[in-house]
Amino acid sequence: MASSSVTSLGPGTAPSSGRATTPSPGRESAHGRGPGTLRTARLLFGLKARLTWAVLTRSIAVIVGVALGGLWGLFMMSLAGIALVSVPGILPPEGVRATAILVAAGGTVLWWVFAIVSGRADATLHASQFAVFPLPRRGIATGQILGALVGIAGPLTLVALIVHAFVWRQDAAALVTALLLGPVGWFFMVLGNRCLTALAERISAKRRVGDAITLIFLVLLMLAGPILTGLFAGVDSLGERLYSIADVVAWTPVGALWAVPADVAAGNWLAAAARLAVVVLTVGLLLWAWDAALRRSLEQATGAVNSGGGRNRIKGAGLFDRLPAKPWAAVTARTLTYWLKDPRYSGSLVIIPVMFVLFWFSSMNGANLLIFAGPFVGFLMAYAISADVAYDHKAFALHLLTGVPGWADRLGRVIGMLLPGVPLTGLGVALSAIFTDRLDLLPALVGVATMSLLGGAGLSSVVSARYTYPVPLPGQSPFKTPQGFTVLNVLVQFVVFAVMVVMALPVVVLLIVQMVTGAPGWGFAALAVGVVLGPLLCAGGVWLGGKWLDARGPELLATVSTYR
Amino acid sequence: MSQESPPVQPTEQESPSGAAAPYPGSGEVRTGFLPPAPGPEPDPNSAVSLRGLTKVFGIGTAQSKIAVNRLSLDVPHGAFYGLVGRNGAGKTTALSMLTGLLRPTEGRATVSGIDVWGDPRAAKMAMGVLPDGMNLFERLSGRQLVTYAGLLRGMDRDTVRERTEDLLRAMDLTDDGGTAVQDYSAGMRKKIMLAAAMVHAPGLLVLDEPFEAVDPVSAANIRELLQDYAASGGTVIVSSHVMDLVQRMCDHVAVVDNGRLLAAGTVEQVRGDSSLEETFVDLVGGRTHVGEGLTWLRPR
Repeated sequence: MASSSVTSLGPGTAPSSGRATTPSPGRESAHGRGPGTLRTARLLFGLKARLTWAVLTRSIAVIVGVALGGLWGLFMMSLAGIALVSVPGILPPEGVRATAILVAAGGTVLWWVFAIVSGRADATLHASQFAVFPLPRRGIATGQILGALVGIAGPLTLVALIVHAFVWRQDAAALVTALLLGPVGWFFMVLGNRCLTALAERISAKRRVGDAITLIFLVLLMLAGPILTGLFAGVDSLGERLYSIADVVAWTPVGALWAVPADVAAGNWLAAAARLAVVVLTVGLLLWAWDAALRRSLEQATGAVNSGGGRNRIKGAGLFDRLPAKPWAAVTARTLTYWLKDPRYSGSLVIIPVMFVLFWFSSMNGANLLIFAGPFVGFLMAYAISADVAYDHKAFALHLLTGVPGWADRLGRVIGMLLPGVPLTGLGVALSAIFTDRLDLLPALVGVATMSLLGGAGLSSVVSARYTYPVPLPGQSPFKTPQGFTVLNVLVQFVVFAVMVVMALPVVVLLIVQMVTGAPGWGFAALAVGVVLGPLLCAGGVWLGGKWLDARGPELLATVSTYR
Repeated sequence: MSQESPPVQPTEQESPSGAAAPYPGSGEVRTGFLPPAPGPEPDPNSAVSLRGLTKVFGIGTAQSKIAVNRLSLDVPHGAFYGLVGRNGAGKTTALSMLTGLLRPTEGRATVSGIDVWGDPRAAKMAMGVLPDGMNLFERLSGRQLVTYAGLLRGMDRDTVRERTEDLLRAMDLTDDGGTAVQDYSAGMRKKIMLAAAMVHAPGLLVLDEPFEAVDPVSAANIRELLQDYAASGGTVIVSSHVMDLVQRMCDHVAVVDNGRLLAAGTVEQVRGDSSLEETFVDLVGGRTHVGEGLTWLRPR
């Protein structure tokens, strides 16, 4: 919990642990020596295997989930495999080569980039965790690489690489080369991943930088679909360009290895050797950087980094000075501060506009859908506070200890969400009306959006006062998969979503009627219903949620405290 | 953050019947000095009055555990009361039930005659609490956190602002008031939580392990501040397992083990002729003989 904080250890800790991790050869200390490289690697390998097993078998629900997920993954991989293996039958040799290079290079990039995020999300086998033990650095490094074999992504990638080799099935020499290079490629991927993880561990110790990287990655991940669709939309016309892209990628560190089979098939030994040289150079560079990062991880294991206190200073009481001096307004000031500063909330503020763009992309062909993108923003904002108390985690104790009335807690949170939520939703509604050139639908859209935003906020206020589900804890990455989901938790999320849709349905129906009939009267009816019912539902939710909170606050605290 | 059992999972092993013998070979609980058995009703003239306070976790299941077992105790106004016990003895659980964080399975708790579970809001206005094992809103600055605690209690802005600055000064945190709490050390967190507990000038302070990780200079300042507060009629309840500290600082002490009250009274009454630490170890038992201990633990 306090891992993000500065842990105060004595001044002597860092140097002494540094010395202990690198036992000087030949000089046997009076305290014996730690395990050697091989034994350390074996220890870490065993540890990773146990961790993986523990993750997969945490509870019956997880086992079922893993089995289903595994089947789905197998199905998807088979599809991808079939697609890959059938490529030689469809595309000319240059196409096969481009596919092989681009797919494998993409996988490599994914492995490497994912390190930056997972470094924050999953600290399994982070070197700094072993700083107090006398383990050799090489042993830790070897153990980390081997550990990937008994992880989840590691074995899958190995299988995928073997399947990938069969892209070359029409050429025996290339196929054999690809199969031989498969393990090398796997090592290359994992090595880059571990190296970047170690580097990211250092970088993201500076909180702001880490938060920013997380958010950027999140956006890229979400936009990956549209970007890729855009790239491959006209593969025929793009074909020529793809080949040249593949040619360039084939000389980059991430792509060089995957082009070697083609060179071997063509008997172009010089190119093959040059590309292998690129790979060897990259491996050397990665090893060197990794070693340096590992040394720093082990010597400064407390994560004590100068976070630039002078720069991050908050003047006065910040937002608390600007909002009224009332309990509900204090809650608003606090939640608003979190909307701006906590990536778990600010992530939503970034993601929701991205979702809008996604919605837009996916409705390019059927333009009628885009009209719903605006209200959808309100819907998502309202849903974002449906686990607010779980996000507070144990800090919620302060609300209990101060005896803040339940309604004030609820109201404060709703207003804290509405302050960014209303402008965002308004913008979304305006943009979707303008882009579809349906300004006549504006009144109905405002009605639907009000209903989604306010009605949804009311529902969230009720739900988060009683039915919670595990979320990433304070200080954790928004990517972190929270542990201990139960069937009930999933059901809660599903029901919240469903009820929100059902609540907005009457207004949505009016909007659709207007779209079909073209009579503006329906639109104004939708506006009236939304503007009247939305605030009513919101007030009702605040009242009922407040009552529940007053009655069951301690039990709620106990529930959210169990999330970890 | 805490070694104390969190309210949801007590670590102490005990049978559901509560009849488990705490010491091997003896069926009875050894008790020290205890005041005459109090009446069944809470005493409205005490600052704090507990009657039969009980918490059973996992009730009706195989892992059912009694964390606090029929605890009855009166804390007079103006007392500086120490609550001592081993790790997992039930101190935090008992204090959580007193402060409205954890609903008791049975029993009552009153603060100046106000029933904590009957009229929680009034009771909470009357006390300031430093909970153990709870987190803070870490993205807020220290100054924001204390301000938040004041405003949540419905105080007006000027009073909150003035007191926040005073408290930051008293806790030696003025320079760090604008820094986010997540960049605070463990001791600084304790201090800012203490400030948040005091901002509304309550009549009772319930402090769970307030000096853990606090540096000696700050600890001395805080101790003096608390002693002034008690001298002016305020009541302080402090839980700790540092006996020396309790003996020096408190005028009253209660010893809790396995969720039961073993001794209570003024420090002099409880410790008699020996030191508090000796009395405590004697009451609680569980000391292993050093000679039979870890014979291999020698520098080579």
